[in-house]
Formats: sequence, structure tokens, C-alpha cells
Amino acid sequence: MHPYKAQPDRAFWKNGVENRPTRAVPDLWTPKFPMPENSRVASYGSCFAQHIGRALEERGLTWLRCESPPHGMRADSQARFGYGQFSSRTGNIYTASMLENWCKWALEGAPMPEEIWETETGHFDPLRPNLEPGGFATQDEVLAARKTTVAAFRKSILGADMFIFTLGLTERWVNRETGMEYQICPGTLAGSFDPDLHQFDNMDYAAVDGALSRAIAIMRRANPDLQILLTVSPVPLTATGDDKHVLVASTYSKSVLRAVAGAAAARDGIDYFPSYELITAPTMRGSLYLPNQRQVADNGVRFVMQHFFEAQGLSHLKRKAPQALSTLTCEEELLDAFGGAA
Amino acid sequence: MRLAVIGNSHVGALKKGWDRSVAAEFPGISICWFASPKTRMTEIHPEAGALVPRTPELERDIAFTSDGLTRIEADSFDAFLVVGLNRRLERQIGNFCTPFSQAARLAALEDYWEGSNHLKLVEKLRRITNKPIHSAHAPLKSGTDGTGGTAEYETYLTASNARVFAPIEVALVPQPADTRVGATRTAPKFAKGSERLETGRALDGLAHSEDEPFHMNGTYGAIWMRGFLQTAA
Repeated sequence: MHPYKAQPDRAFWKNGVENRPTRAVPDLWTPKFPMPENSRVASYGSCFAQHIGRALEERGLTWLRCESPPHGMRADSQARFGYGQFSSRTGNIYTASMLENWCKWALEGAPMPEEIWETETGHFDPLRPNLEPGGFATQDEVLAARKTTVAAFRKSILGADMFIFTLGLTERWVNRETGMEYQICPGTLAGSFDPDLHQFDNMDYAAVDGALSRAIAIMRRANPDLQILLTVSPVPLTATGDDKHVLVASTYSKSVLRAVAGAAAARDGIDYFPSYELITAPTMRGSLYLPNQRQVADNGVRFVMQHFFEAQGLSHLKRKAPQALSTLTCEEELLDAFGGAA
Repeated sequence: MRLAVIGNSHVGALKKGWDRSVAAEFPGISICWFASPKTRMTEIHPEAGALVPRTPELERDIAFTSDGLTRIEADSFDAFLVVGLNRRLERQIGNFCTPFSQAARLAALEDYWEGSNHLKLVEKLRRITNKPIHSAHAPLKSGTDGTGGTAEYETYLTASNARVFAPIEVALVPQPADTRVGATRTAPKFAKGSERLETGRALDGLAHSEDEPFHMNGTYGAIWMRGFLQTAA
């Protein structure tokens, strides 16, 4: 007798994966805590996380929208202006350290960076340069919008029962002098790149784990009952700032994020939902990606969310008025345009 | 000047104001009214120089309110006024009293009007005539809790004209300042005693309920028409 004798089918590749139909992966996730139908959920993270709120709303669940768009704005305009993607208008939060920053600004009153990018077309917020097409009209608008979002982010954390965060990247760009972290490399979407000022940083396990742990601690101080659900984006890097091949860099990044999420999920009140595994598993043969083998196809998103709701015992909730899934805002993809990719 | 007023239930207040006191002040102006409740006027379509109703109900309403006409012939009038068929404008104007970016406000403004039945009707009318067309938005909801002030209201009107109406040579007419509370409300006294649009149906002329905040009375209509005609005529 040895320990494997007592393991269930799902513990064995042959019975858990190989002998199953391609997309049948039962028992993949057993939630640590339930999500009752009246749960209030806040979601943030990388661009893949934009699917979460939509999926919850389509099933009539309460996804917190704490930053409302102007009245009368159509859904497509809302997307262009960064409304309705996350529970507040943070834009994509790709890294754990950026999440920590938002938590500090919103929940601890830490001062926000003063840097604003001014171009011919407008003023851009380096924390979310893709937020306003053409940029803000004035610096004051940038600052007012930040203030609104900080208040909305705070409201979303205080008002949520569950916080869902999708970890996206380990790579980031920071200002050498101020320590400010940018959402995307300066000079790509807006601003200008200064090699003496802008420093590439690829966070290691300790850095990601530290930032995520601190962010969660800040949120828990503000909302002690907040349950945390972590996911890892299955979307590979568009481009790496490192000297490695992008495939190697992607694997490093996702491995670190996955390991951090797994370790975090061992703690009380934190769980990990394996959306990453569902999309990237060898048995899927890349079929849940678009032809570029990077972006997740709509059926992949539906597959992931179906697993989520089934595991939560919410599969009886039917989708209402499904929205187009492919209109995500992914600043990172803009790197293609600046990196010479065909 | 021969003026055609086309719209929904909000035409009622303007007509009452006109009939009760304003008509006598403008002897050179004749008005023909074309009204139908709610969004029924969306069933009118441009056809050979006229707007023609596509449903019997609308045809009946048009005939009733215009004293027998069954279509709106562009050649029969010198100018047009399109009334109502837009919803909750006060919320739109409220965008200009809230710290949204100007670009976001303007995008929402364009979305709002592009999605409105008001603009669709105006565009149909523009297809059959090059004569002056004026737009009257539905009255702001009545109440005392108006936000903003004249500046925000005027900024909104100016932006709407610049981005939506002026390009098709239409003028969005402001709601008179002395009927407004802040930028977003109509003074409650103008909602008292408002009556239903007369279209020859059972509820014609009956007063709206006391707490109905969206329709205005003849006093409002008189102020509106007087202000408009002093400028337009």
C-alpha cells in the first residue's frame, strides 16, 4: 500500500485527462468557498479578466460596477473609454505590484505619482494610457479622473464579498528616479522612452509573492471578510523586454505567476481558479486560442466560464443577452505595432 | 410663417400655450400640429417630399391633431419644429455637472442623440426639405433638486448643436431659463395641471397625475413658444 493507491481518478493523468473526451475535465476545481447567487463580486487584472465581469452579469450575478460611464454612452463607447471592463476604471492591472499600488492609493491614501504624459493630441495617464482615445484634454482632467477611479476602486473593495484578480505579467517598466510603475512601456502607446529613466524589470517569485501578499493584506484590513479568487491569464506575452525568446519569457512569466497564485491559495480565504490550465492543457491542442495561438477564442472563454459556474453550482444560471467577447482592451498587444512584428 | 410642429405628447403643452395666449401675439404665424403619443411618430417615413405615416394609428393621430391632414407635405410649410421623442435629457446634462472627461461627455452626448427617436425624426424631415428645422427637447424632469446651473445647461446645448444638430443644419432650441431649476430640472409649478395630449381618445385632456414629472402645462408651453417665436420669427 502506498499513498497513490488512495488517490482519486482526477489525481492520475490517464484517468483524469488522457481517457477523458478532450474537453471533459471533471473535478478540475473544487472551490474553497462558494459564491452564493447574491455575492457581490469585484474583478480586476490583465485583459483576460475583462471577461469575468461580463460573464457574471450575463448570468444575472452582481458584478460591482463602481465607476459609471456618462449617461447615454453606448456599450462600444464605454469600452473605448475603459468603462465596464473592471469594477472601476483602472484599465488592465497586469502585475501584482500594480495591484498593490492601487490598493495603497485607494485604501491607504498613499500619494499617486505626479507624472503625466503630454502629447500633441492630449494628456495621458501613464497608469492607464489607453483609457481615453486621444488622451485627456488637460492635466486637471487626468487628475480628476484618477481621483474618481481611486474612490471607485476603494468602493469596490469595501463593497465586495469576492475579489477576483487575474495575474497577467511579471515584466514591467518603472521610473528609475521615482519608482513609479507604468502600465505599459513608455513610448509605445504614449509618452516617450528614455533609456536613462525607464528601467525594465522582470519580477521574480519573491517580488510577485511579496506584492500580491501586501495587496491582499491591505484589502483585508479594509474588508476583513473579503474572499480572494486568483487566476492566471493564459494569454502569452505579446513581446518581452528581456533578452530571451518570447516563448521562454512567457513560460517564465506564467510559471512564476502560477506558482505565486498556488502558494497564495494555500492561505485562508484565498482560492485559485485554473483558467490557465483549462486553456493551455496539452489535451486542448491549442484549440481554445485564436489562430495566432496567443489570444483566447470566444469559445475558450465560454469553456472557462462554464467550468467556473459549474464548479460553483451556478450552471443553472443561463446567459442573458451575451455580449461580444472579442472586444477587449489589451495595451500589451500594442507592443506588436512598436516591435516590428509582422 | 407657416410652421409645422411635429412630435409626441410634449406637443400638448406647446399647443395649449399657443392657443391660450401666444397665438394672438404672433398674428403672422400659422401653426399646424402633428402629434402622436409616445414613440408612435417613429412610424412616419419620408416619401416624395412628405412624411407619410405607415400605420393606421399614426395616420389617425396626425389627421386628428392637424385637422384632417394625413401626411406632412414639406412644401406646405416654411419651417418645422420637432418636439420631444427623447428621454431623460436631464441625465445627459448631468454628465456636464459630473467630473467626467470632456471627451467622454461628448461621446455620450453623440451616442445619446444618435440613439434618440428625436434625431431620427429630424433626419427624416431633413431628407425631404432644406427649410429651417428647429428641435425642442422634451422638458427636463420637474423637481427642485436640479444640479449645475445655466452654464452647464448652455454648454450642453452648445455642444449638442455643434456636434449633432448644426451639421444637418438644425437648431436645438433651449428650454427657457425661467422654467429651469439648475441645469437639469423644470420648476415644479410647470408640471402642475399638465394635460394629456388630445388625439381623439378616451383620456384626451385629462390631467396627468399630480406626481407626473415629465409633462408640462400650458403656462410652460406659452413661455416656450413665446421665447421660440421671438427668435425664430
